[in-house]
Amino acid sequence: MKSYKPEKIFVERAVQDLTITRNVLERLPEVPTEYIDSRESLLQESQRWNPTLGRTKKSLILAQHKGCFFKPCPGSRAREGLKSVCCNYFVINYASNCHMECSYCYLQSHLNFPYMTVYANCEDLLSELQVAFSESPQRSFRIGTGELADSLALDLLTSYSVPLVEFFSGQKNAVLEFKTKSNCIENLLDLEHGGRTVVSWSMNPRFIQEREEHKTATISERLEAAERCVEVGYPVAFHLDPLIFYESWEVDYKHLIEEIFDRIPTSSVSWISMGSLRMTGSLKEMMRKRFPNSFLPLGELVPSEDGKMRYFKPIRVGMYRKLLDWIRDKNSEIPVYACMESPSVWREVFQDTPGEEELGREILHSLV
Amino acid sequence: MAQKFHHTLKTIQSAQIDPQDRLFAISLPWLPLDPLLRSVRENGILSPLHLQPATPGRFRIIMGFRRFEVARELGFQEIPCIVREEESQLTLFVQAVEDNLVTRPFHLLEKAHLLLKLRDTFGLSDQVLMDDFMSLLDIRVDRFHLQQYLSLARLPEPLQRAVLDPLEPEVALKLSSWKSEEQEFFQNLVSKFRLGRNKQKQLFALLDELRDSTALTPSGPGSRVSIPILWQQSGAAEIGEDERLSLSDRFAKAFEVLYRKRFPRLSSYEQEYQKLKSALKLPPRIQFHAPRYFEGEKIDVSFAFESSDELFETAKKLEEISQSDEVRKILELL
Repeated sequence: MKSYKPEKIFVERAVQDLTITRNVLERLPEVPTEYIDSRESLLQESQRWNPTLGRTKKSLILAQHKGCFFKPCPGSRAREGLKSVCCNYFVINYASNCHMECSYCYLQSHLNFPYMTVYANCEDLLSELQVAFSESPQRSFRIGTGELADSLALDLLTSYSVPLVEFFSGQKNAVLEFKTKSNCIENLLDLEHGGRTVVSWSMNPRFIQEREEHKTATISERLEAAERCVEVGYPVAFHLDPLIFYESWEVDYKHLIEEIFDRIPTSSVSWISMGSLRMTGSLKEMMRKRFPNSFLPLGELVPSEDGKMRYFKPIRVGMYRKLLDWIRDKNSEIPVYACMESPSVWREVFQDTPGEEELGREILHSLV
Repeated sequence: MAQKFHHTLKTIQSAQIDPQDRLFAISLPWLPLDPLLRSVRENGILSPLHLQPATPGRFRIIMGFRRFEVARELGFQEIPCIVREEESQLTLFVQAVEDNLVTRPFHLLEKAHLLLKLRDTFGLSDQVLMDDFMSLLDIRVDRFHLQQYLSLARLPEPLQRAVLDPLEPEVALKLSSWKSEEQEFFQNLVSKFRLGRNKQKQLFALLDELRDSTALTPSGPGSRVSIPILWQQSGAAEIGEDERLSLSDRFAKAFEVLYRKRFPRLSSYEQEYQKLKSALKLPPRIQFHAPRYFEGEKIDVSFAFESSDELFETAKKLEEISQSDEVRKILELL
């Protein structure tokens, strides 16, 4: 993985004395730092000047998160009465944006604030979680930090994982998921995790990783990182997402699944998700501009019911079915689910459409 | 920005005025002059031109390029003028902008050239353009729009001329990434089929993606097939020349063959669906509607009737087809 080094760090005064801020500044002493009252001025500047993402990603903002860190996954949000099958997932937005350059990344067209941002007020985040878990002791929570940022790509700078893993190790009704395309797991290895943190990797065949997932850890590095996490007892998970349709996809994905199961014991795999390539019209345009050699926007993508473009349904149903068969050939117990897919696709692939509570429970079954 | 100026009202020989010196020009020389021509022919030059002494005995135009052009065309030997002597070039240019703005709306390309001139000739920063000029020109004030306008002004002249007719500006901007013969070919298609905004955009996107698809190789990007060849090879060229069809049908069918090439699996499903539906021999009063792009599990059926008999006939027909192979196969497509 190509590690991240900003050209400039902006620190909001409200977080200048917090641990996460100190961690970053201690590890990047040579990077110029400016203290600011609020990132609002940077937001206005970016709206006015419309700088390129390549430019804004060179600035790291250490900011105070003023709203709620903890939210239901947007995949569960009904849109005009249309709803994907949901896995009852929650997200923590501890950071936003990602320095790795996956051609298909939705953050390119999704974020209003295009700078690399880490919300350093981790104590507020933990308090918010404590309240939520205490208020619903009967409920099980599966929570990820990888919605608006990679969960671990900046961890060697921030050590954000440390308080999170330690906090979740003491929770009875919640599991944390770090979702990553990095191999930055050093901070995790000595922590008391209590089996309450799942480390997961988004996986694609090498052909795709090399062409489309720039600056990420290689597939070998990801698997090696997963092995090391398993060695110290972490449950792990894999996301075959986004699935890419191309000439040799069958050979390559089958090989990928074999490689995963050859190296990772099935007893350590908590879940596997599948999701096909999807993009909004504005993301497609952005991809064509930023990654003109990417073949992904040239796939047979058509608008789905939720307005996003996906592969024509028979293509993705065919891919899901094959992948599911290959996974089931290896293990029949591991929960497998499709991410952001319609009930009709679920029925064709899994012969069933579970309710969100049911699916969430099934996925969490082995952990909580 | 209003400033006092010293001036002398004069009549100057048209031969003393240099129309090639376009330092202060806002209008583009190739924009049509027809309405102004009519007015000057009937009334003469009502507002004097503003000129600046250039070299001894020669003048450059500050305001009135279009009036001068028309006067020359009408053979005027003498032109009423105000000669401006003291102001800075930028002040004069800004006055020219304001003077033009109160008398006529600016064409999009004029706004684009004006911003480019303020930036490149008069050395104003992007910040000043956004702060002082974009609102004045009724353009949304942000960097993105500034860049769009500057890009328009930097387009090759043939593409800029095409923005007047027939190209949409946003299509012209995108077309600039194509080779010049491809640009010309596309403009000819737009003119030939008289394509409006949406169809221009759709055709551009389809051709652009098809062209890039031809460069895909397992080892990375290769060379692209050019648009004219793509048009020829797909069969669209032949359809486009088929005089038995109306112009809009020719375009629709040509577009369809390109679409089939871009979306082969979807197209084969659509064709199969149409074939099965035709085999059902549905009367016009019964309509089948598959979900868009086959995303969904249900076929909508609608029907209309005017009498009880017609309703009964419809029910009978629906019952008759319900067990057919065609309906079974249609459902399998979903």
